[in-house]
Amino acid sequence: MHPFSYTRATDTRQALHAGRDGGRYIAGGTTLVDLMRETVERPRTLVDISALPLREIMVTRRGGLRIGALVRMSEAAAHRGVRALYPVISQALELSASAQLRNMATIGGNIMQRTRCTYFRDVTAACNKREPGSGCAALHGVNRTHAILGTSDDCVATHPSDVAVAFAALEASVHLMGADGERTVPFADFLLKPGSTPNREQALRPGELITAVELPALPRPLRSGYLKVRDRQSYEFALTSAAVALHIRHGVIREAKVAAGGVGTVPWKLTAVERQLIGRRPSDALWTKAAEHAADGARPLQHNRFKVELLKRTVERQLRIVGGGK
Amino acid sequence: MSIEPPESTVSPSEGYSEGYSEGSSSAPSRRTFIATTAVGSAVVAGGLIGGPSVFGVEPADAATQAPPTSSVSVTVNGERRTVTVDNRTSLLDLLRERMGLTGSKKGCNAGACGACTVLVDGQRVNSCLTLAVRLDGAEVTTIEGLAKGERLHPLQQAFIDQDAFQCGFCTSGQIMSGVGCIKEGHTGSPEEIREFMSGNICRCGCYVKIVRAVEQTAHGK
Amino acid sequence: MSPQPQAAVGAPLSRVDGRLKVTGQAKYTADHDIDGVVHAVIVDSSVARGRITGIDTRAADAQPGVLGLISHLDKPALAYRDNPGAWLDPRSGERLHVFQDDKVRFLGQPVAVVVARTLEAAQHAADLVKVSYDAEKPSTDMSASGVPENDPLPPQNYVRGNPEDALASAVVKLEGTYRLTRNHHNALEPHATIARWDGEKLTVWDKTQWTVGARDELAAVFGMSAENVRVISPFVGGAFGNGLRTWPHTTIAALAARQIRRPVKLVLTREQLYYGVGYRPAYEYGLRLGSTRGGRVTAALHRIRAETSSYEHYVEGVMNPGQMLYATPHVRQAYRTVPLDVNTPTFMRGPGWSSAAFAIESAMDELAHETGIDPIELRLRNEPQEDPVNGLPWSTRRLTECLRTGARAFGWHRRNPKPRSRRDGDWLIGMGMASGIYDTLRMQSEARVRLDADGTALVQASTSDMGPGTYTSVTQLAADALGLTMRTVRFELGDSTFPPSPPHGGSQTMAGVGSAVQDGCDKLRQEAIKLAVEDERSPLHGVDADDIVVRGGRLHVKSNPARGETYRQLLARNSRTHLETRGTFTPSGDDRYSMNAYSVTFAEVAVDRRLGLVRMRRMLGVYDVGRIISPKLADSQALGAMVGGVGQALLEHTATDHRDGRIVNANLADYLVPVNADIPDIKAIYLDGEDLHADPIGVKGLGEIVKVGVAPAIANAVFNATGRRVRDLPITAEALL
Repeated sequence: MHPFSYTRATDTRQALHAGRDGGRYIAGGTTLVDLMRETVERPRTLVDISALPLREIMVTRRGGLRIGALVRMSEAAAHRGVRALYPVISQALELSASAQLRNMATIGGNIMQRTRCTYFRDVTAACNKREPGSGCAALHGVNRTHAILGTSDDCVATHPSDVAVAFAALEASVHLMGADGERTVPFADFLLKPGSTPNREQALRPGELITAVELPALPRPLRSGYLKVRDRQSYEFALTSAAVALHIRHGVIREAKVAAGGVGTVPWKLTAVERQLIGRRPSDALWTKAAEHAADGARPLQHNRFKVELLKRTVERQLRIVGGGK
Repeated sequence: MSIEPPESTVSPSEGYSEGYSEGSSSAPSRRTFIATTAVGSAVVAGGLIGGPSVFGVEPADAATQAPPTSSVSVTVNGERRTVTVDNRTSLLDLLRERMGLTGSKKGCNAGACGACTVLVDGQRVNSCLTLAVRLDGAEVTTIEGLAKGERLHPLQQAFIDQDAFQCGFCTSGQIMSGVGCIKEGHTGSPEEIREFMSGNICRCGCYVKIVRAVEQTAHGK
Repeated sequence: MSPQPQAAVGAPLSRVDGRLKVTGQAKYTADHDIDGVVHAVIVDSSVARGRITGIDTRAADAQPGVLGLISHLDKPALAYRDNPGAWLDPRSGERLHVFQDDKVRFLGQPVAVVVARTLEAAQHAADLVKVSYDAEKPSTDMSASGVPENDPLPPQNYVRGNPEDALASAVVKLEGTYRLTRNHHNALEPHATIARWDGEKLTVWDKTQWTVGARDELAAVFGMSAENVRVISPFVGGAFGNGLRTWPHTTIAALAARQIRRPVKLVLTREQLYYGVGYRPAYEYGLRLGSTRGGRVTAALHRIRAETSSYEHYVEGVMNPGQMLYATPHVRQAYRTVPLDVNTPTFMRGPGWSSAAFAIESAMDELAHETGIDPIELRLRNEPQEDPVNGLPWSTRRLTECLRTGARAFGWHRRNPKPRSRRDGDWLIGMGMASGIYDTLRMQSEARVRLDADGTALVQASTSDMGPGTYTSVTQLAADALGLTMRTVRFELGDSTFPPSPPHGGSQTMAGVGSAVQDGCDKLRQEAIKLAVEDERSPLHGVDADDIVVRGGRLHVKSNPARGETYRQLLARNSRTHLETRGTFTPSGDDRYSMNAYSVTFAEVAVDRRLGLVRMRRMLGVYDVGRIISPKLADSQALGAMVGGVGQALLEHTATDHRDGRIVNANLADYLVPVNADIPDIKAIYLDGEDLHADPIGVKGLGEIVKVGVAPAIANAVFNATGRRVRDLPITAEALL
């Protein structure tokens, strides 16, 4: 680990000030410290933001939910409001990492999580994300766990977060604060596809701080849930996953929110699947038909071809679990 | 200074019991993980290194500079200690290399095995991913602080009774994690225990008995 | 068998070291607090083949706290004498010599070591060392086309009967190639060494399964007398075989301590464990079976290939099961290794035997399906009456009893032989089983036994306890043989200055060390009895020594418990501070019997019919391993092996990028081992019994056999659930979609 200086921000202004000076924010630290140890990350200054007052979960005026950036994953998962209104969020959180890591990691940090791509994590390997221009070792390397959607020739790394998939599905927004004030970015615009600049992962301006993630109010009743498919029963990143929320009234699907994880360079919103669902009546046939579109545009690699079919089946299964069978 | 016994501290969910209502905040009512007390309590010896890049290249003179250190006051197993740490030092290395508390183990040093699990302010965390410099004012409980004198914590006794270990290397982490699991209330069924104890790898494969030990303790069997 | 009452042996006692382990007080290697210790970190090669052209240490050297750096450029003097005692090392090839030349033989090879005052400084300085290479394209893929079978040695062959003819004339023929990927042990404790020189004497705290082996190897490497080396290893945090050899990092730690003139602690990182301490080699196991319509296997032709390093020719017992598990009259085997630009493989739980069992027991399941014979019945029909290799009688072989007992206990009759016939929602349910065999190893062992005047005993042997519970089970044996309570006997191990023990592996610790301890305790008890019966002041004076037993530290006439005295009284009266004996065990060399342990493993799996995920539902192991000294601990060992088998069958796979020889999942987040949620309730049954041909205490060894048949039982259950025969491990979703 490279040496760094450390400062603790006691209020937001102080944090932004240190951030503007090039300090790197640290919250739960579960990704950052790990990557610092691998020397993938070499911040010269850490700005500890965990004392900032960003640990509230509150219902918004419009009936959505605002989760402070420093709320721990375990706190958000256990929160009664989250459990009642957005089961997909609490499920995605509880299927992530381990209980210990969920006690440390924050919501803001979770969406800032960096990829598990082995070549990214190994400083002796070529990686455009870590070292722009060095190449992508994963493209023709061992790439079973890599992305099939949103990839480019420069990067095929998967976004590792589960809860971000739920955020993408629900069309959350990210509240940011910077030296120039506050702004809100739709979740879909917050995480960036690699394109030719895989080193740019979020639409953050220098020194900007995530203050909260806001979930929009959705028509009720809303059924939702998260399915995570992985080799191991627990404590593993997703091979594929699906976040599904459905608003069904009078036997017709009025709203459908669907996204997939483990397959995209960013959490992958499945608008084509959603379109198939809206206005139709739940049935196994519909789930199958809609899920056929889950992997539209997929560009599989040598070792992850199976993800194309697995993704469709994951989405189909989760539609049935949330929307009901037969 | 003494710490509250882990089994009697507030459960995490209680902090939110009034939290969910229209427009109200549900800020945590208890301090967790990172101390939020003293202002500017961490001494930043190296000072802020300025510069526009957060992914800075090594400074040319970094080689000859002493690495930044900080003074941290942390309560470990009820005993308050003030130490000067290299900012890079993890809580795990602080415990093991500086404080002689080698019960917490380094199995992976990457948050992937759970052998380093300790309680920080009552919550189970991976001490390998916890920078010691961030713990000013925190209370840490390690495996060495669990028994009351000669009297073992019930979970320690249950591990012996159930033979919930073989080589013993993961055991400290398993027990600390089990204490956290019980405190969190994730012991409703064997399946729930399995899931919430999955952050602790036991390569000797004692899972069935670990679950029994947690069950025995949680339900006073 | 001991004439003593058996109170502790066979009782379900808790571990004697349990309290130390649950309070964090058990000292594993890196836990020892050695005065003045400094930290070493190894720099590894980032290429798999080539030469080192330069090592730039300027940035590292300039780090505050750095005490030194060693590489081949320093030409450190190391003798690397032959070590004839290292019989576990491959017989062909030469161990890796550290820092002796510029040649790179595998990615991850140590190329330098940095020593610094603090761990943080050492790690950072190691990161700053810049090594340049003249790299060549490595060869790391055993199954790549064009990989020459440039084995320096001819393949090992075995033949009996006329296998080709027998196969040609067989009514039923089957052929399959089974592939097992490389597995890494991944014991939770990383390998670690603390080395300290006191003048000419070297003391090493090391994670090892063989303290005297490590001592002899260090003596050979440093060109010194073994008497000047002491290896200490009281607790081993799991090893599963990779602590049997003495690996380069142990030498590096001792070398660094010599150069720096301070005690040095070196702990391998999790990643370094993938390159530094061996692994279970990948296999390709081609098997052709010929059988009668009634399921009698007449011919078996095995073609076995396994990976090894370019510098050592590692072979293991992969040929044995194919020769003796079933009564096959015609057998041919060819086993060859493929040298690659990788580090050398090593023993991993059930070495060779379990890899063979995957192929053989999968093939037997295929034969059962083909012939329509129940898999258990099929095995009963192929049960040999004697060892087919040499015609020797079995010392004990109760495999058929294991099969029948297990079938009953597991509810095998509920299995529908037709695949894909049982469903539970989205899950397809299947049952499978597999048999296993592992030979009973026994080696010369010694132990020291001392009874003190206070009536407590101390027993010592240099063996290890990597988790099976050697501390406990040996104490149980000693307590009964001495007639003491468990509390009054202390067993010490893990120190090369204690009486020599064989490697703590191959399931031979109880047979060897246990028998030596039993012998020493018997001798001591007899000495005490002799002292008593010859002592006119003793109430036992004149009694026939054979009529005396000892219980709870009191010697008394067997038929008249009132007549006797305690050890304490006896020793005090005779002014003896202690009695001491040395126990030995020398295995019988007459080879009148074929001695093996046996297992049958049953598995029930659920396979998601659409998502291809395999989840365990139930497992049962039934074992014939002779006498069980410590049933509570034996149970844990069997359950643990089944968990390991779940890993091998469904999860574990060391993945190498063959473009440059890099292991891409060299960590515990990506190399998947089972976690708690993967494991259902699993059970073990040990058949009651003993094998007194094997050793005086009647044990056959159990740590290896419990692993042998687990993976094929799971694979066979997957077939029963899905109708898919997966011949490659691990079985992951892509094979079942």
